[in-house]
Amino acid sequence: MTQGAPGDGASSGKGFAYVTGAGAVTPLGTGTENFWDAALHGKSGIGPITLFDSEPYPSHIAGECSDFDPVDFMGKKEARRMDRFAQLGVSAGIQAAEDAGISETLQKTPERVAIIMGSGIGGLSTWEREYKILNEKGPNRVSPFLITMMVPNMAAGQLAIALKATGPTQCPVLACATGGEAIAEGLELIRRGDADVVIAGASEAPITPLSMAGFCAIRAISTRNDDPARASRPFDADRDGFVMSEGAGAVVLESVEHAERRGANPIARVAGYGRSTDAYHVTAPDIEGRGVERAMKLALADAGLSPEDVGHVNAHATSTPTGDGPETKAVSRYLPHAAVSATKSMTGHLFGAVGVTEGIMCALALKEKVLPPTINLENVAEDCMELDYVRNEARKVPDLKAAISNSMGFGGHNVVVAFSEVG
Amino acid sequence: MGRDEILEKIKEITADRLGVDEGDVTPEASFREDLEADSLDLVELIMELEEQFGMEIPDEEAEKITTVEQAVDYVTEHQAA
Repeated sequence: MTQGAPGDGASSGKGFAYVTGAGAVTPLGTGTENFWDAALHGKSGIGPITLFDSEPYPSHIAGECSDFDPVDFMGKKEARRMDRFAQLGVSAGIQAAEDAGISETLQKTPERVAIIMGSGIGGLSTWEREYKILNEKGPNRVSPFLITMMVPNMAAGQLAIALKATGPTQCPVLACATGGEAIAEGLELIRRGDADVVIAGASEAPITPLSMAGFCAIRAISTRNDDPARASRPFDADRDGFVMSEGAGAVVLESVEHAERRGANPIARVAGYGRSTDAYHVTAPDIEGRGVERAMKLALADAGLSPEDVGHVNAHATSTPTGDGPETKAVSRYLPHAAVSATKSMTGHLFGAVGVTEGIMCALALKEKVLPPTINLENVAEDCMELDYVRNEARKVPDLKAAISNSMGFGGHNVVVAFSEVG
Repeated sequence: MGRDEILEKIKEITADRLGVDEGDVTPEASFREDLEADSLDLVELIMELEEQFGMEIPDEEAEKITTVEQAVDYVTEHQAA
């Protein structure tokens, strides 16, 4: 290992963790392979809403995890005791643990395995159902499982039970930056020596009547009901809002020493992270993208990378008229050479979970040297800068050394995670 | 509703709520020991019996119901005429 070489997080940054496993449940498919394969083929996971009757709403489309069956990952009883968000998160976490092959670690040193599983909202569908029961039938009919199904930390708690992992648990709640925060905090747990292995993930199940009503009220949701596959179109002149999606992602982060000792086969490195807050507006980002730019700079400094090292940005870009432009300004100032993808064009917006599913794409892009595309990008909008967009088809990038995943959440939260190749 | 019919219905509800095979829900089976129900499971199960059989089961009575047979007894005795 060359001392201080570009991309060498060990010697020039604050220390990296290996990504040794990944799991995903997304509108593009359940299982990392299905998800990644669909993304590289530019498929859309968006379709008509089936989880509730959306007829009275202005938008009738969403990204549902239609091939997901919780019973593939847990018992029927366990599944019934979890809100959908927890089912998704636990399933992604179990997949990630299996992919990393950490069963021996879980058996021998479960106290050295930490779990970070965040959610932007938590068990909203359970909340809605039980609130209806409260109003219609009274307090004595409210389920004894309301509380344990509703609280947002329960995907973390349930995953710990499923895997018998007894290290620390955390549940970041940071709107659409939750997933990035989970990976950032996971790296920090490893750096601090609090755990050898961290399962870092996030999950969201927001396709419910109340949440849809709320997001429609914000006027943030696409109403391209007649053409769902083309509704999510980040950077495009004809974009009209994001598409709500559900899903979960999880990665296994591992200390270098632990991974090497057990002969793990890493996918990529989490090299560093950067965070900032706009302190500007609850939904709109800083118009010049200064907050996300600062987070990108901090991430590279933390990782010991220079801007030239970063060949790819998985942008936050959600396809809203107000959101995409500022981020493109930040990227054009700081990483003008980077190839940019907005994979929400395919997955829709998985809210809290999206920082992890997009982080997984960065890790896999580094391993396989191929970038997932931005679909539906026909004409770059006037308010978006001309960048090197990966348009409509995957792109091979044999020289890719490092990639970043940007996440920006309502509240003005910016989290950027820097990934680098295993080396 | 006759006793056999009540037993069948309780078997069905118990199997569904506790995620066990209906065959394991014998009259002698203890909810906690044999069917692995925890305290929250039992609260939910009692609520479901109340719902399905249209009755109120007071907490002090519910605590005495520990086996399938006791549940059948309670429902048989207290069902609406």
